Amino acid sequence: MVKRGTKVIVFLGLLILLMVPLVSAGIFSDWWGKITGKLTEGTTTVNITIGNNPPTIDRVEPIPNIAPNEGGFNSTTFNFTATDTDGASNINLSSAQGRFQLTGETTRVNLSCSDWASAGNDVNFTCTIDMYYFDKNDASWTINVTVRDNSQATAENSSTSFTYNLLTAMVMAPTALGWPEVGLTATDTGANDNITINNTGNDVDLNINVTSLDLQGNTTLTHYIFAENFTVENTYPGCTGTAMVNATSTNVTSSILQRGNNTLNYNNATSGQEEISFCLKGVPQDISSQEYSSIALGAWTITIN
Amino acid sequence: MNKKIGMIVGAVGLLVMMSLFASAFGVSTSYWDENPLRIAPGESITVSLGLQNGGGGTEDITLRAELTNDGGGIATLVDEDLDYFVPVGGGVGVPIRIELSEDAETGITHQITVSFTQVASGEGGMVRLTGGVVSNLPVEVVGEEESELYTPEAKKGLSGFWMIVIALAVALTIFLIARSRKD
Repeated sequence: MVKRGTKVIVFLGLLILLMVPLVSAGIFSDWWGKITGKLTEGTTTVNITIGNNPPTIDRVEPIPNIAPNEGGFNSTTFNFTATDTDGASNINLSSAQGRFQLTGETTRVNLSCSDWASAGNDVNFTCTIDMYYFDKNDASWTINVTVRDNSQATAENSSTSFTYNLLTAMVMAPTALGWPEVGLTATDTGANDNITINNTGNDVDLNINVTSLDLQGNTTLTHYIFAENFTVENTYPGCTGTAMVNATSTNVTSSILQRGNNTLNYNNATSGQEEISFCLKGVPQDISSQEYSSIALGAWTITIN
Repeated sequence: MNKKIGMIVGAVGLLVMMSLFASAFGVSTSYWDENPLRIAPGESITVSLGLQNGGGGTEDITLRAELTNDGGGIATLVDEDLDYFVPVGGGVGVPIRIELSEDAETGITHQITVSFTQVASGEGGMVRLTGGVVSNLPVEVVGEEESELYTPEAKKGLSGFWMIVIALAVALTIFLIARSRKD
């Protein structure tokens, strides 16, 4: 014989099983709404904000040492990878930028690095930046790269650096000196042209040295104008400058060559230029009238160091 | 009597012509005073200086190298022919061998100096000018782990060959032990 309590439990269980589908189907709420007139359903706007995951830049390709290109620029191309966990399509492909930075120096920049591959959450960008011949040599130029996603969240990486080499270089013009006719009693005669020396590298505080050689007569080979008869300095006509010494490297004490943008053409340190003037102080009194030149004993050398 | 010394006259036209030919050249290096080459006693390395003929240069040039300071006998120019032809717009490497003795004193910086002088391209009827560039290469003697040539593998002192030998020995030991237990 089944106990009465057991029957109650079985009944309640069956009742619950019966009610659950009816409640979930909304039968009771409809019925209640019809009785009370209360609204049982309606339209409302629900705003759900899903947080944006900002992109990251985890890999920047190392750049080996860069040698400046004399008097020009060196285009350096490197790659970096941006990752967005919201998908690669969430990265703004036109936002990638690259910069080479060094304190005190002009930042070299590319504001439109291009994408060259995309896979999964990653976008690989390639970036080309020009470094100029007068940019400072240093072992710690920073590679800075940035990218944004479509929500304007920014990723940045400045963890890598590279070395920009030292370049000691010059160009001078003209490459020959000439004087007007001079007499035996003439003194302090400046050369026809100043010599302009451009620093076409990034070395600084460069000394300018001149190695002069005696000039021999082209006709009477035993007659000379000696190197010691010439002086040189950084102002025309150069007659109060440093006296030359035959076959000896002599420092032009008034001149120091700095790095700079030659195209500014200021003829000073700012533009990486120096002008030097050669002066013929006088000539030996026992030489003959003829042409004297460097043909026999060799060219004069202007050296930077 | 004011005797005329007709020095270098009548050559104005030639001067103008020669002025059109600018000589531009330079030497690049990865090492300078604040960033010297760092190697340890007993080590040797060949580094290269890069000659360039750019910067508005309009003609091929030949540069003559001279080791004017060998840093106390630690540097030599590798090439026998020290005249380097550098085409306009081009570049050439100049190898330099650096060798430190086993008893080289650490903390010392050796200065190596190489000068490059343009070999005059021909005769001129006046005072010809050529260019020269001096390049300095500082070499700092440092401890083994500070050396540019240092690698962690070198510190372990185990070559790939010995690592293979050790691995084979371990495998053989395990095999023999396993077989003896089985027997």
